[in-house]
Amino acid sequence: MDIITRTEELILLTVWRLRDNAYGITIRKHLKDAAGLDYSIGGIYVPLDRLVRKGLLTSYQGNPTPQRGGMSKRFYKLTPDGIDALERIRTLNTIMWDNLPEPSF
Amino acid sequence: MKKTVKPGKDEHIHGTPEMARRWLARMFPPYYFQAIAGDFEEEFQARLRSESRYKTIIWYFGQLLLALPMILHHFIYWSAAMIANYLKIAIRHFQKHKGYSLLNVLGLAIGMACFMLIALYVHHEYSYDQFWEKSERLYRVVRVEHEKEGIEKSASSQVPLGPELQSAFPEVAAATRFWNVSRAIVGYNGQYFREANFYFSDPATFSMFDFHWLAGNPEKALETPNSIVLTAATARKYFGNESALGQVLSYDGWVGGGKREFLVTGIIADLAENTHLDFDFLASLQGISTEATNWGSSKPIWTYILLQEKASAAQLEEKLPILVEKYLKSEHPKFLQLEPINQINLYSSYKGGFKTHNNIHNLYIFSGIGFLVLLLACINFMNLSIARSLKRGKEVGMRKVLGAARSQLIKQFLGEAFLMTLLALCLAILLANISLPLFNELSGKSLQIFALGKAAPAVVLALTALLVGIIAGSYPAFYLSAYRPVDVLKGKLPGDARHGNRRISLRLSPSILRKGLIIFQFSVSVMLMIATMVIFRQMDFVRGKELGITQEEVVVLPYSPAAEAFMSKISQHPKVSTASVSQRVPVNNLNWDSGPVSRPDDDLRIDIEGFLIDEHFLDTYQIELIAGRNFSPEISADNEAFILNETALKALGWQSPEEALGQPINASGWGKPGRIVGVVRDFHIGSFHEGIRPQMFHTFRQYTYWRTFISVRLKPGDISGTLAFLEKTWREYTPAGVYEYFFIDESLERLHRADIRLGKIFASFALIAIIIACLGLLGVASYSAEQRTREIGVRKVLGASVSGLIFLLSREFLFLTVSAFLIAAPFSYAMMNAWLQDFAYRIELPLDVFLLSGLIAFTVCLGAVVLQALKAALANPIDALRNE
Repeated sequence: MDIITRTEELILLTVWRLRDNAYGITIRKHLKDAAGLDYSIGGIYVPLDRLVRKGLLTSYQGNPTPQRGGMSKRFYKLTPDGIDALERIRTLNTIMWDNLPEPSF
Repeated sequence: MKKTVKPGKDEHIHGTPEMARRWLARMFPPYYFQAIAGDFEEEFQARLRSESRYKTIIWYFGQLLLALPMILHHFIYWSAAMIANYLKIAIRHFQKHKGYSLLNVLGLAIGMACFMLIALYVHHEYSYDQFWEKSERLYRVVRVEHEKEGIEKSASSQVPLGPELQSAFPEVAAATRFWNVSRAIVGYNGQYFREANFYFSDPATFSMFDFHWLAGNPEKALETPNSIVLTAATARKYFGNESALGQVLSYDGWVGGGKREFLVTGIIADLAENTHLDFDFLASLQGISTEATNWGSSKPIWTYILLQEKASAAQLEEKLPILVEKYLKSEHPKFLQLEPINQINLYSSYKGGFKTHNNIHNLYIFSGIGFLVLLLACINFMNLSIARSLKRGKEVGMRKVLGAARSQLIKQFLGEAFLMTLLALCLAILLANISLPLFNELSGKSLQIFALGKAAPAVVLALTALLVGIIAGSYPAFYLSAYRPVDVLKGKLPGDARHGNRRISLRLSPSILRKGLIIFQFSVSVMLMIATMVIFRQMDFVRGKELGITQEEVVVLPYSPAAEAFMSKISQHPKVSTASVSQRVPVNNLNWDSGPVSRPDDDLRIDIEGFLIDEHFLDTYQIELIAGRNFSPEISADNEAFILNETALKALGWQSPEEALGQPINASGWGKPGRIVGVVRDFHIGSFHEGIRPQMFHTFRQYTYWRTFISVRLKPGDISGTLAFLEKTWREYTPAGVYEYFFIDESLERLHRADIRLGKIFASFALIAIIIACLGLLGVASYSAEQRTREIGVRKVLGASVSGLIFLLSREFLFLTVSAFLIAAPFSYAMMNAWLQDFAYRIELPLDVFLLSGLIAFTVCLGAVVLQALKAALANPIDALRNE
């Protein structure tokens, strides 16, 4: 499997962190607060959708709530593959960082 | 599913802009709508708490814009997925119903190919003389005369007309004449040929018509006397690969007073096929003084003018009566008119001119057939598509249940129709290419499929295919997509969809539509059949008509200076019956001379056409003398004698031949006054569209120069031996001559060729139309039988006989054919009656033709349907009933 991109990594981590409350708005908000990534309301679904298709995320529909005008939320959850991918990139990072020489300027 | 996502009106949403919400619903796929609309709503409400409503709304729209890339991404991804799915289903359907699909595509392809060929032909005919640089300003001068017995329209003009037009009217920038020398003898290096397309012309020709020059100077080419310009093919004929420029050709013909020599000063490329101009030689008229001031008689001269840039033809035409008044005064009204050169091919009704031209009516007929054939093919396609698509009710139901919107289904079915049409289009191009040589032979053209150059034809073809796709695919698409999934899935026959969705109720149920289409198809086929048969009957009639002249077995040879000795020699041959010398031969009257004739006791002047003959002519052609006597060499008064036909007699005002015999007439155009010595029965030589015109004969005497042809009537048997004898003998007496012979009836055939051609083309396309209609019927019949398999099974089990079943299945279709016939008959009656009016000699509309074509349609239909019915009726009922 390919190495996931930095953005994908950030999104996956966000979903992981948000646990049962990972849906469009919360994901957007966390990405903005933590990483400064500014997605539009619609735009966030593009990478989310891609990750679902890659099998790293699954989505499920929540119940409609009145403050959403009767609309339900779409929640996202990591799949085992998603966790794998994250761990792999973490290992990769560790290997890449390990025993680096002093920077010479 | 889509409906549930629309936020209901009763839900209270404070102020998300309604419009934006609707956009949202439209933009996002249903799958995402819930999530995204919810997000929008939630965030909107949150913002409203901290910011002004105005700002929030702006933010909202901004977010909508930002979402665009995602929407696009989505749209493309899912469309591609759906298209892939549609394609897969379409291909599976094609494979599953190979027979139907092939029938469908093939029928459409044939129709399209016909349409293409006809479009090509029509385009070609319309392109005539459009390509000259100055074609908008070029006109042919023609003459209309209102004579007692009708209107005479002719393109032939007088020698001085061209120059006079140019000097008298400032509007005329240039004028030129083409003076036809039929049967000139042209020679080079001891080789001689008779040339029919030899013309004398003015130097202005080359400033008016931009021919493609291969050699020589267009401005100077005809300036000097005795110069000549050849077409490339002619130059090759005489000089082979040598350079023709500067060579000298010998000439012998009546224009220019006998023998001359011409210096070749120019070679032009062969004339385009789409010009009515037709010549091989253009010799200079400079220094040819023949009848330069003779306004008295018209000659085979076609006069053309080029107008000044700003001049108007209509205004010039109004001034032309001045010229008529001055030079062409006659008792009956006479007009000169200007005919735009690019309209000659299609609209000209004037006698004479370069080529026999086409007729706009023929073009209308052809276009009509082209459209009809295409329409029939479309109907076929539609019929079969409907029949087939009804079986797909379950698929449609399933798709709807799984969330397909109606628009998607419409797209799917239209798309499938396009796919089929595209396939048909490719096949049609192939078919058209293959059948083009055949079509060319039939139409006498040399068309090429993409000869039109440019992208235009490709665009036209693509548009046609698109249109056909829309027409053919629309009904199934709109009809099927309107099913209510519940009904379809419950197994309700989609046929009675009227009980289906009330919101989209289509009043045309497929079975009624299908019946209507079949009736239409068959009426058109029957009409075409009737038309074809009537055309052929008329052709037969024309060929078998009592002509008053017997053209069979007359062979025509060129004149020999030793004609008398030659003729006495050949008349001893057992297979030669008679022989005669004449100025022209009665093949057609296009190039006959004509001149005014009048009675001394009357002011009435009639243009009578005719030529010079000898005393054997009437015998040779078996023209019946009904009063008076033939010319005779013994009677010296025959110098001033005329033999008239009945029409000429009546035109001059005599009631009976006896009255006219011995009467004097003035024939100034014919040289001198004379007396009527004989009257012949009217005989027929022209096209049968025209009636008989006044004609007369004069005898040679001092006009020996005009002796041009020897006509020999042969006795039946050993034609080739007799021909060989004639040639040998002729050569003996005429060592330096050019021997050529032709049979009169062959030339006659050529004259009627346009009509014969029309008949053949018509027949071919009618046949194709009928085949297409039958293909469609076959498909629909077999579908209908298939649909009733179970019913037939049950009936068989209950003891129905095979013949009873066949009757059951055929009844409906036979009813359709009968109604089709009843519709077609009156239409074709009116149509063919109108067509026949165009002939001066015509048949009565034969009623048996109607019955016959009705019978044929009925039989064909019966054949197709019964075949299918038989198949269904003979099948083992167990096979039919075992399912389910």
